[in-house]
This record gives sequence, C-alpha cells and structure tokens, in this order.
Amino acid sequence: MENLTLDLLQSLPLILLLVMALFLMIAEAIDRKSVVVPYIGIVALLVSAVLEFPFDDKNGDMYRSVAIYNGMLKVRGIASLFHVILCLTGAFALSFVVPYLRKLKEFKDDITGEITVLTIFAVIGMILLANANDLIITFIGLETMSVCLYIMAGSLKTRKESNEAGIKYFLLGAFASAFLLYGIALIYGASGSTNYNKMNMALLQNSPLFFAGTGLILVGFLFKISAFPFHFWAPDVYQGAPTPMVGFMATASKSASFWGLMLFIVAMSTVPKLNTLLQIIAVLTMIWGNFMAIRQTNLKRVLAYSSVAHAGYVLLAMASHSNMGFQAVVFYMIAYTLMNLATFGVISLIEGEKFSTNAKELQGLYYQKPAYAIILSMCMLALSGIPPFIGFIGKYQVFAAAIKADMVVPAIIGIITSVVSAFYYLSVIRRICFIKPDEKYLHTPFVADGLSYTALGILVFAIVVLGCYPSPVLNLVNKLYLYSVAFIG
Amino acid sequence: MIEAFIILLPLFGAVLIGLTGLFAPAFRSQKNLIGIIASAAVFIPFFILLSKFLGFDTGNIPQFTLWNWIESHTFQVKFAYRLDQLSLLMGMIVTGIGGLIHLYSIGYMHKDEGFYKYFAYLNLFIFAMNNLVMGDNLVVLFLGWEGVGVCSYLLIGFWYEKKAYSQAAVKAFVMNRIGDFAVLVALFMIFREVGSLNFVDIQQKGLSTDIVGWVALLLFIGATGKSAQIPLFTWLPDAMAGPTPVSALIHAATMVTAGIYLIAKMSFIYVLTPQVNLLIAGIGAVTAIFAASTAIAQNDIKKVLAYSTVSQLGFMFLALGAGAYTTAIFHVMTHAFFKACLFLGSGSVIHAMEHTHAVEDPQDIRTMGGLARYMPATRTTFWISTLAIAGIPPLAGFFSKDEILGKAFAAGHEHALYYFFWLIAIITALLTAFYMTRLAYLTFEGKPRFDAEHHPPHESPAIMTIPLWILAVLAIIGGFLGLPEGLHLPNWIGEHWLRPATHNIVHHTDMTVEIVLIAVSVLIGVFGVLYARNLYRSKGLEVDTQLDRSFGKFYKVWQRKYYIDELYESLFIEPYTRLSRGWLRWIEDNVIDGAVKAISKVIELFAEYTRRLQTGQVSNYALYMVLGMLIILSYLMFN
Repeated sequence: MENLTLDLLQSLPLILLLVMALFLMIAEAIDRKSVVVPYIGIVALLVSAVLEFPFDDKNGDMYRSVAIYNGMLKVRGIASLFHVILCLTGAFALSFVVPYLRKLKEFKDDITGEITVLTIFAVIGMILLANANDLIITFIGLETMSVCLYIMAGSLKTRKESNEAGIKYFLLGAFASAFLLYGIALIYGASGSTNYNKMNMALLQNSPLFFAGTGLILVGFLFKISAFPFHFWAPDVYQGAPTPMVGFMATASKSASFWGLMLFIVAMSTVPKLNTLLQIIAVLTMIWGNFMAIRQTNLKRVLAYSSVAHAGYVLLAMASHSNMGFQAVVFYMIAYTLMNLATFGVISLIEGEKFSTNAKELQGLYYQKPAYAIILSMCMLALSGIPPFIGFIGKYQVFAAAIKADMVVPAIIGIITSVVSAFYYLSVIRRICFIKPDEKYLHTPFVADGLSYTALGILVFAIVVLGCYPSPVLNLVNKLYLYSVAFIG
Repeated sequence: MIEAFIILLPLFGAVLIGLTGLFAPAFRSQKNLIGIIASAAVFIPFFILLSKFLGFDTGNIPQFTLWNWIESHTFQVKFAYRLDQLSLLMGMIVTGIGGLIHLYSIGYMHKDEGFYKYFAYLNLFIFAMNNLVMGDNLVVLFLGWEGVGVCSYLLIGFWYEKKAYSQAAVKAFVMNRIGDFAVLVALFMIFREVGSLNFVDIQQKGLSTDIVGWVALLLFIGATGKSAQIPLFTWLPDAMAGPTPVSALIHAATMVTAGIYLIAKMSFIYVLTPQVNLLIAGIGAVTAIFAASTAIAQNDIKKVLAYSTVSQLGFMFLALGAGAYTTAIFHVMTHAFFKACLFLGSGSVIHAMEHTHAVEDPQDIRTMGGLARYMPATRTTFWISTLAIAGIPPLAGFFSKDEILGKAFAAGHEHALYYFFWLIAIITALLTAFYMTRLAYLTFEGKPRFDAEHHPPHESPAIMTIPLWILAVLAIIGGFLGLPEGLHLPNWIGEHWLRPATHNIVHHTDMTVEIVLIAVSVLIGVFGVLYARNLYRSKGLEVDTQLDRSFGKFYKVWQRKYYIDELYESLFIEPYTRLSRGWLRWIEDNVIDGAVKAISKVIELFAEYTRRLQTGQVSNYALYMVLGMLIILSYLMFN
C-alpha cells in the first residue's frame, strides 16, 4: 500500500493530465461553444510540464529513472525530459489550433474543445509510449496516442481531404498496430515476460519466435516513425489533415515513438543483425524521403517527405547503438520538434480559406507578409541543417555518432542525401521570397492571435539561440541519458 | 558585468532598430526615436569605457567573457574581451567619435528613406568594431574584422540603386577579402605553432623563427587591405560613395585604422622581424606620397579627403615600420579627431550645396567658393582641422606627425633606407599642407563660383555643428597628450599609457637633432599652408591649370590617380574575364554543369518512377508494408 501511494505521487503530473482531460471532456460536452477549453488545456499541459521538470539536485537522484507500478512505467531522469517535451509540444500545437479553426467558417470554435481533449489524451499516450518499461504499456500508449491522432486527422468533417486522411491513417495504423501486438505476443511466448527488466534472462535462448517478435514490433514502430517502406501513409495524411494537427503528429508522435523504440532497442541489444537492419532501413529512408520530396509541389507533401528523411537520420544514429548515438536520438528529436512545430505553425497561420498549400499560393509570400516569409525561410534553413540554427547541431550529432561507430558509408550517403534535401528546402525559400506573388492569390486571409504569435516567437527564438548555444540542452540530455538509460542497457 | 554592455548594447541597438523597422513600417518614420536609441547604444558604452579609463589600475585590467563559443578538447574559443591600455584607448575613439557621428547623422540623414536601416548598420558597425579592438583572442578580432568589412560594404552601397555605388561596395568588399585571406592563413599558422589563438598564449609561447616572418608578412598584407595601403588601396577613394558620416566614421576615423591596431597589438612579433618592418615602412612612405600627390589634382571634396586619409594611413605605417607602435596609435587618435571633423565638415558643405540646387555636382570644389559667409561654424572648424592635418603647432596633428618623422629619422641608425623614407615623408608633409589648404581655400574663401545670390546656402542645424565643434576642440588639444619626449617634455600617451601594452623598438637621437627635425617640420608645414593660400588667393582656379602646364605629364598622372585602377583592370580583371569567357566557359557549361545536370536528371528520373508507387490506394500501401515486414522477418530469422 505504501508502494502504491509513492507510485501515485511519482506519477502525479501524468495523473493531473488525465484528470484535466476528463474534466475538459465533460466541460466541453456541457458547453460545446466554450472558448476557454483550449486555454485551460494549454495551462494544464504547461503545469504538468513544470511539475515534472527535471530539477537539479545534488545527489543526482532526479537524474536516475526508476520504474514504478511494478516496473511498468519509468519516471524521473530522462523520462521527465520526455514528459516535459511532449507536454510542451502539445501546448504549442494547441496554441496554433485556435486561430486555425476560427478562420474555417463552418467550424469556428465548435470543435476546438474536442481537439483540446484529444490532444491531451494523445499526450498521455505519448508519455506512456516514451516511458514504457513494459511492452504492454508500450502498446497501450501507442494505441491511446494513435486513436486520438486518427480522429484529429479526420476532424474537419465537411472536408473531403480531411476525411480521406483520417480513414487512411486509421486503416494503415490499425494494420501496423496488429503487427505490433502480435510481436508482443510472440515475445511473451519466447521469454515469458513483457517487461524489459525481466526479459533479459530469456533472451539467450535464441528462439526464432523471439526474432519474429522483435521484427514485428519493429514494424509497428517503423510505421509510426514513417520509415521506408512503412511511410507511404505520411504524404497523403499530412496533406489532408488540418495543419496544426499535422504539426502535432509529425513532432510529438514521432518523438514518442522514437524514444519508445530507443528503449526497445536498448532492451533488445542482444539480437544479432538488428543494427545492420536498422542501418539499411535508415539509408533507404534517407534516400527515399529526400529524393521524393524534390518532385512535390505541395508544401505539406514536401514536409511529409522531409519528415521521412529526418526519420532516416535518426534511425542512423539509432543504428550506431552507442551512448553517443542514443543521445543524438534524444537531442535530434528535440531539435526536430522545435523546427517542425514552427514550420507547421507558420503554415497554419498563412494557409488560406481554400485550404491548400500548393506552391503557387505560397509564392511571393514575402511581398505580403515579410515576417512570416522570413520565419518560414529560417525554418527551412534549420531543417536543411544549416548553421546557426538548431538543425545543424542535431545533424552534426547524428553523423558524428555514425562515424564514431564506424558507419562511414551510411554516414556519407546520409550527408549526400542531406545535400539533396537542401535543394527542395531552398526552392521553398526561393518561391516565397524571390518570386512575385500570383495575382489570383493575393488576398489570402491571415489570422493569428496573441497566443500563436507568442508561441511562434518562442519557437523561432529557441531554434536560433539553441543553434548558437546548444550546450545547456546537450549537457542536460547527455547527463540524463547517462544516469537513466545507460544503466539499463 | 557592466562591461558586457560595451559589446552588447550596440548589437542590441542594431537588432532592435533593424527588426522593428523591418516589421513595423510605422516605426520607420519615428526618426528622432531611432536616432536616440542608436546614439544611446553607442554613448553608454563610451561612458562605461570612460569610467574604466578613469579608474584604470594596471594590476587589475578589466576582462570578461560572454560565453564559450567553440569547445572541443584541442581548440577553445571564448567570446572573451580584455580592456588593456591599447584596447581601451581604441574603444574610446570608436565609441566616442562613433557617438558624435551618430548624432550628426540624425541631422544629415533626416530626409532619407532608409533612415532606420542606416542606423541599424551603423550600430552593427560599432558592435563589430568593438569586437575587433577589445577581443582577447584572434578569432574574436577576426570576427570583428570581417564584421566591419560587411558593415562597410552595406554602408558604401547604402544607395544601391545607383549602379556605380553598389559596384564601389563590391570593390571594397573584394579587395578587403584578399587581405582577409592573408590574415586567415596567418591565424592558421599561429594556431599550428602555438595551439591557441589567445594573445596572451601567443606572446608567452612565442613563434619559431621559421614562421614568424611569414606570420608578420601575412598579417601586414591583411592590414594593407583594411587600411588601404599599396597595393590594396584603390577601394577607399571609391568608398566615398557611401553617406558622408559613414566616410567620416568608417573610412577615416575607425575601420581603416584596424590594420594599424592589428600590427600594434601583435607588436611583440614585429619586434623580431626587421625585414618586414622595413617593408612596412617603405609601403607606408610610398603610399603616403603617392596619395598626397594624387590629392593635389582632385576636385571632388570627398575624393581629396579620401586620398588624404590614404596618405595619413601611410604615415602611420611608416611609424609602425620604424618600430614606433605607440606613435602610430597616437596618430590614429589625432587623425581620428581632425579627419572626422574634416569629413563631417565636407558633409555639411555637401548638404548645404545640395539644398541650394544651384550646382550640378554638390561635391565639386570648382563650383564652390565663398561659403565662409554662409556657413561660419563649418568654415571655422574645417580650417582648424586643416591646420591640424597640415602640422601647424600647437594643433594635434603637429605633435603626432612630428613624432612619426622623428622616429623614422631615428630608425635610420638601423638601416639607411629609413633616412630616405623620412625624406619622402617630409615631402609628403609639404604636399599635405599644400593640398589641404587648397581644398579649404577653394571651398570657403574667395568669391562664390555659383549663383549664391539666388540660391544662398545655409549653415547646417545644431545637431550637425555641435559634433563639429567638439571634434575641432579635440583637434586643437588632442596633441598635448603626446609632447615630444626628445625635448624632455612629458609624452603621456606613448611613455606612460601605452608603454605596458605595446613594445616599441627604441632608437635614441640626441637633442640637437631632435630640435632641428622639429624646426624643419614646422617650417615645412607653415610654408606649405602660406604658399598655397597666397597662390590660390591671387589666382584662384587658374592655379590648377598653371600646375597642369608646368608639371605637364605628371599632373595628368596625378589626376588619373597613377592609372592604378586601369592597371588592375588590364592586369587582373581583363585577363580573368577573357579567360572565363573563353574556354573556362566551355568547361563550365559542359563539364561542370553537364555533370550536375546529369545527376539531377538521374534523380528526377528516379523520383519520377518511384512516385508511381505512391498511388493513393490504401491497399497498395498495406501491400508494401507486408512486403517490408516479410523482408525484415526473413532477414532476422534466417541467414
């Protein structure tokens, strides 16, 4: 009983989120037009992040992860960092949702409440996924997250594209989840446990069941992080789903999946050939994502392929299977989250009533809204990994880890594909800054409120400042990683 | 940490004004507000520096670090600053004169569209310059070095709608880059040898005799670029395309003295390289006479001042070459006072002439004359500075120039060539007195050579004349900081203040020689001024035609600036363009572009075929997933 009280206390920030989500769901059901729900949601996410924030303490106790609830879920240490980042991502995404929905005539504030509740539930799922110490929790987290995301992708009920995105995402996602669940079942069959800490003894048996299970679980994760050849859903879904929600699913769900995958791979470190497999997938994903992005004319599709390519870079770091590599995974996803939140944030603010991000419409943005154009250009430069933005530091970490691990050829391929990526990122800049706007699209409405401005400002600030001065975040990540993950692996 | 504001405030001002102006068009018309912010961002650092100066303690030199920039186990770069005597003095010149020029610019640029942009650039320049003169390692210095280059480029091309102006900006930038490249190579050599780029480390570890000469030479090449010496000087006269206050601040008082600062700062290595010193002195002396003779035949008020700047910088290099680093810095200071005053005065004149709309070219002194009646303040301050630069005692220029001449003569003990350089310098001093008097006389005295009755020019507003007066006062009293030590008078700046920070090479001369030298230089100066004044008073513009006749070909050569631009054109630019139009073009089109195009074709084809997999059909996607899963599973389970 004493244990349970302690565990509840340790997971208080998570419970707070749960309570708030339920409360907001009821509140939203009572007053569907309520405009305060998203703001309460943002506050709840922020409070949860603050409560969880990895405070400095002298003994280093806070840096060390512990598994609670009978070893099911990890808290503190790097788990806290994941918690904080996922909560913040949710809060940022929500602050773009409000003005975005408000400018769509048939929705206004009608569905903002639902979206808020779904976002919080999704964040809870993500936190479970990223901090799972047991495959069952992994599955529960992944499903909680995914179900919310399916609904969010299809939330614009009157729009064909949104419905298409939602249904495609749901069908393929369910398919992938089935693989994952089957994999968990096989692993349980082989090792007698689903818990990372208890499985290790059984691993030595070398049973084919176990390898099959590992492969199937991998498929489930690779779908979520949109790695080749499980990425085909991404462009279609990104294009059709409402932009701020895309920003959320592209960043938070990917980060959570990557971190969950990282824990899984650390636990499975005795499986032979796993690293080679990851390397091959990483290389294919980088090539596929970057080369396909070149031919796209829709900005959201470009970004979808770009996010595929970024998944390739992170997989490369993962494949290096070293402390340095895993640290790079954590840092890269933070950088990636900041950059993509800002990118999709800007796009959601400039996206017109026609609900399209075709190249023609964004052309000459600089002549109408220079500030947005400059921010979007900065995001593009950051995504392509040009200093002094944070993307550069992330990429440096990834490739440095790969080269340290003697993966020179994959690293060189990665660098070449990232040069290719500069082509499409820069052509976005060329289009929005150096070509005169098309007369037909001159009067696209720009709607934003103070909250979204602030959110955008913070993101851009972070992208630049952390690009120039990354050491605080790098040091935090490295320290938390060494205390938390390295012990387990 | 109040020192951090010295560095950060100008940057903050630049960012604030630049970004607000960019995003909020309403802000752009708040010209007074912009002016106040920008000026405060420079004056506050000046007063911080002043307080550091007044409370200076040799045992406790102020230093501070903003943050670690690059950290790897073998190489560390910090944004670290150290305000030793030299840096403090330079910093006060930069921010003090910079502040005055900010004030002046509020009046001068008031009607300009790009007012906010101008002040953002100007603040950015001060930020870069502060990095240059206060950085505690060569990397920060180099960042500042490049930063001032960028600001110079932006400000020369400030009115970039005119093609010639933007070309002048490009020219300045490219020429500077040539010098910068040499500096970079020197930095690499130092790092290889010492393993650090901190001044303290370099000085303590020292450089081996194999490379010290090369490093000294390379740094000097960099200095010739930034400080407009032969062979990299042609950009400076063209740089007059920028707004006149910019010419005063960047292309006369501060940035162009960066080369002199660099050599003085690194004086501990130049002590070891007598051959390089001889070269520096030679280049300085030749540049000085070369620019001075060109200045005689110019009619554009700013061009004359530009060549005069090149010439004075030559004097400073002569001092550096003679091992008199403190003297060079002393001349940097006095020159900053009177040359800033002269440029601002010329700006005031141009401003007035523009508003009369009576002449086609408001900078041509042939169509001026008689401005004394209309612009008394500008005239008085301009004359004070003219006399100062001509070396008339007891004005500032006399003391510093005389000290340079004396040191050059004294260095003759070491190598007889220095006597020759001294002779060149004496002739240059005579020429300087002559052309400066010509300039001031043709501008302000005599009868107006334009329609002054119908279009009377007006004196500039107080915000422009007050800086003029302050600078004129400094041009009068600035010299007393460095009285000639040869006469056993206290040379405060050289003997007391700068001595701990730089390493002069000391040559002794006896007192009689010193007295003779001073007498010669006074006579030369007075003669030059009086002769020019009498000549131009009696004959006016005819003097120039007379000069043309009596000097014949020489005068043409002076007028055409020794055909240096043409020489470079035919030596470098012509062959280069011909080469690149010819077979390099072919290689470019067929080999380089061909390869690139081939690669992009391949990529496009790849994308074209693979995108067909993206059918939009969920069942297809599911099929791909199953295939992928099968491959993964078979890979993991079987060999």
